[in-house]
Amino acid sequence: MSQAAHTDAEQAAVQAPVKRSSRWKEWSGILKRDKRPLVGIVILLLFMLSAAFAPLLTPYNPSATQFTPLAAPSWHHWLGTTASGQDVWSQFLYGGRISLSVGFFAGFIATALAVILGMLPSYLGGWIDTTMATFTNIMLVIPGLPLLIVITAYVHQTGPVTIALVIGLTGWAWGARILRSQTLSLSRRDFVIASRLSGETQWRVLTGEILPNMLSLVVANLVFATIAAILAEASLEFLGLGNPSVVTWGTMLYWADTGQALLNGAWWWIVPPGLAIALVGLSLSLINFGVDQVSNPRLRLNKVKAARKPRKGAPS
Amino acid sequence: MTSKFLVSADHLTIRFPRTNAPDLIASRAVNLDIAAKETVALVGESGSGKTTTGRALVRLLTPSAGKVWFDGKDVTHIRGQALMRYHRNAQMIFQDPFASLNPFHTVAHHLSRPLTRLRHLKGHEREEALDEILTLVGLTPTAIYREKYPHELSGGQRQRVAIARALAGGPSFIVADEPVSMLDVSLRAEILTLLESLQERRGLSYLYITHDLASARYLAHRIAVMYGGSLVEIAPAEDLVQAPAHPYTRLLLAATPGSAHTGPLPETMQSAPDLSEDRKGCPFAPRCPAVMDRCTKTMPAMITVADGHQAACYLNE
Amino acid sequence: MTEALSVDSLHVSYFTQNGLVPALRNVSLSISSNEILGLVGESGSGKSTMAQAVMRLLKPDTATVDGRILVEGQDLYQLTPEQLRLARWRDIAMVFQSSMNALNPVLSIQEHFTDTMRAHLPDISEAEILKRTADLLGQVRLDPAVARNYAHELSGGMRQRVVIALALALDPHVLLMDEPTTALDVVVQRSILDEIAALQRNRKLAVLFISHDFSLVSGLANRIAVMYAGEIMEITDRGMAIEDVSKHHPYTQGLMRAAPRLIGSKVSIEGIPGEPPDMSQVPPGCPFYDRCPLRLPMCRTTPLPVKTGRVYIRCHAMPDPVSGKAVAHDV
Repeated sequence: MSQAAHTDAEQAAVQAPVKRSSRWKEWSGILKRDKRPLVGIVILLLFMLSAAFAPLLTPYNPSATQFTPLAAPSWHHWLGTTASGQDVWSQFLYGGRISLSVGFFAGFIATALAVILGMLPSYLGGWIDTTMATFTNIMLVIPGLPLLIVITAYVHQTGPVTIALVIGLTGWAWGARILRSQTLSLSRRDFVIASRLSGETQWRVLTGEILPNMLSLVVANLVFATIAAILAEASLEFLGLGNPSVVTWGTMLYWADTGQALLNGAWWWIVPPGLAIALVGLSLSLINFGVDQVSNPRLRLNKVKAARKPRKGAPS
Repeated sequence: MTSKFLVSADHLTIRFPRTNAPDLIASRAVNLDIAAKETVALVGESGSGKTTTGRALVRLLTPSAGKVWFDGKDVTHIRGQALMRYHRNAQMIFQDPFASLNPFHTVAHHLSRPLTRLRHLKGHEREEALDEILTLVGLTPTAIYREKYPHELSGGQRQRVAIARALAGGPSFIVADEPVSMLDVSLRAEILTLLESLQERRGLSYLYITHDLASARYLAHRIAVMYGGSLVEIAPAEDLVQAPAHPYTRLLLAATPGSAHTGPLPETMQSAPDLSEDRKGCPFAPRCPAVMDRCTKTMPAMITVADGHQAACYLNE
Repeated sequence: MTEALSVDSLHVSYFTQNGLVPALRNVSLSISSNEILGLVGESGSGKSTMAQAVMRLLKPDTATVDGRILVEGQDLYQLTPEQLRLARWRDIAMVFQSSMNALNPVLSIQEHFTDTMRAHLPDISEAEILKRTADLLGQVRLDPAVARNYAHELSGGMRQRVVIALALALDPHVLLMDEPTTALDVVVQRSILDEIAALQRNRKLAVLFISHDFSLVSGLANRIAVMYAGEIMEITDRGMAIEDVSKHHPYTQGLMRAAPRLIGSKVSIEGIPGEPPDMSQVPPGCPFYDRCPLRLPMCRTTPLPVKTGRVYIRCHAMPDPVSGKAVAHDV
């Protein structure tokens, strides 16, 4: 029988060192070709590190009101002071802690809900699926910020955790819808059907076969949910719906507004939190360009083909 | 049901509901028996119902009517654990080797799952079984192939992995759905001969689904032809190719490249068969050069033409 | 005599991440009017690159093209963009596998014909367009009323017929077909092939018919060129009759032995062990060396001889062929 005898060529190809384009290599290759995700990562890391090491970067308590009010930036106060005599630089650093934590926490909740509510109904099927799809669509058409405002206005004690929870619990619908349709499309693929034939439980099919193929979508969802959460948090706090005594980039803007920073020409009070929010959003978007390339099947396929053998003449 | 046959479709009907239209009947009262160690080819064009029938036999689909028998047992409506036990015996190989393997899993993972789930093997035993199957499908040295991801394999190697996965549970019946149609000619022969030798070594029965009569003739003991959801002819492979008894089979043979037929195609018009529920009569009647009045009214039953050769056509009365 | 299409030492290489990778090497062939040349190859053999190169569809930033491609004596690669636009469709037209899905969904079939004819013949009258369209659709055995339909209202086979009729709208002399029937069912495929053969005879077309299916091509073509790893290994005018197998190039022999047959007694099949070479590291000698059962020591390093002519075999181990009978079973 012919299949018993492999040729020298095939043997040679087989015994050649296994060319493993590991996931890490794939990612580093993308970073080499496209600098945008790298820039995003650097910006985000700068913000995260400065927030984490805030006590080392500033000697002042961000809430302390002991300084000259509305002082312009100087050697002692790099970013000047607020109308109540707080140091803006330390507010900026400590505020980043809460703002980033709330953003990532809320983004994580929204994404986790999107994964569960997007994948599970298609697993359970039947009326649960139909009901969930309807519910998701209703959530999609309710405008986000007004809903947040209404909920936060009803909930007392709107600390950062509450705000994160509210944002996370309302921000999952988009992701859920995308992940649901992707789950449905993947569950019709041959490899999923084959795994059912292999005796896999439906739960295992979902988590072991379908979920890995959606990871990049999940990561992209996490990125966007986090951006949305940081913006929503800033908006709510700017509108005074947060706890104004907690220092965040959002409450900084709230106090700057009530303290009439613009009228007083105190640009140093407004620009740092505003710029920080914008830059973090930008950095996450830049990172998403990289995620996009990992998840775009066409880019990925070409890469694999080129790595294997350039079968350019192959019919499409 | 006698247990003379390993697998049987008994008036197997698969119906897909449609909104605003009569239900679509993809597979209409199909009777098909496959003996142990036998290969039956199921030949037809796209939309003929051959894949639907194959999927129903491994119970990826539940028949709307009729029965599926395996080894004398009714497996039409089994679920859960019973279905899993059935899949130890009945497996499937898919058409596209690029879609039937999960890009995130290694070859070893693809094979160890059915070994674990269907045969409850663990540890050392499982590893040995894994190497044995890889060797069986010609993927040696196994140590190297085990760790490969699908994208690191060629189309032919991937199809070997897919075959190995189907073998892992130790089945006696495999539905091979166009297993070579996506492969290059030189690789097709290797996969077909592999399937052939596996049949001998493992005593397998195949339902070989294909649109290619030449490979059906090569691989199968008997060939069944489907058109428009109905089985129209079944015969020993050589009989079917030499002396087709149904006008559709004649048309298919005439159209196949490499056939001896050189004249105009024996059909009156080109149209897709009507699959809707309200169709009456023979699905081929609108195209049939020998159509009679009653062909459009009632579907002829299978009529025996010769020993083991049956065709659903009034011409053979 | 001027050939309808002649390709002269064509080299095509693609720019890739791994540098310049050859796809076609030293390809020479010619087709006279009134004949069908089949071009057969497996995936990666370069046959689709061939179609694109002949139509000058390869962009300069994706591939380099060397050599000459003459359509009715004019070098396609010397034409200005405007001349090229006119030459395509008028002198050389193309139908490919996905053509039937490339019809514009918002235009009726008639509008496709009108647009094509207007683009090349600005002075043509409406009545003339309608008359020609009906005539062309009739030639591919479609009801001329189909002109009023939209693509989605037609079956795959009907759409591919429309595309073939459309390709003939400006009466080209050379027709290039790249897997035109591959996505279709066997019966539809066969009837379209019948039409292609009839059109070719009636219009004295030169047809380059590219396919992966040896048995399909051997029923249609007058000559068959067999491609492997970017090179033409053989041009033959013999069919795939089982008794002639040993008169072919070793690779062709392998292909013929690999395909199950429908006629004659049942014979065993065997594949060609191994895989085509990595095109970024093609060996200096014969690209089939690794898989060849007839290889000689010299084959590993000595490049294949360059040959021209109606039929030839490029192989160190095989003598040049004597022309056989016509391949086509005259479908």
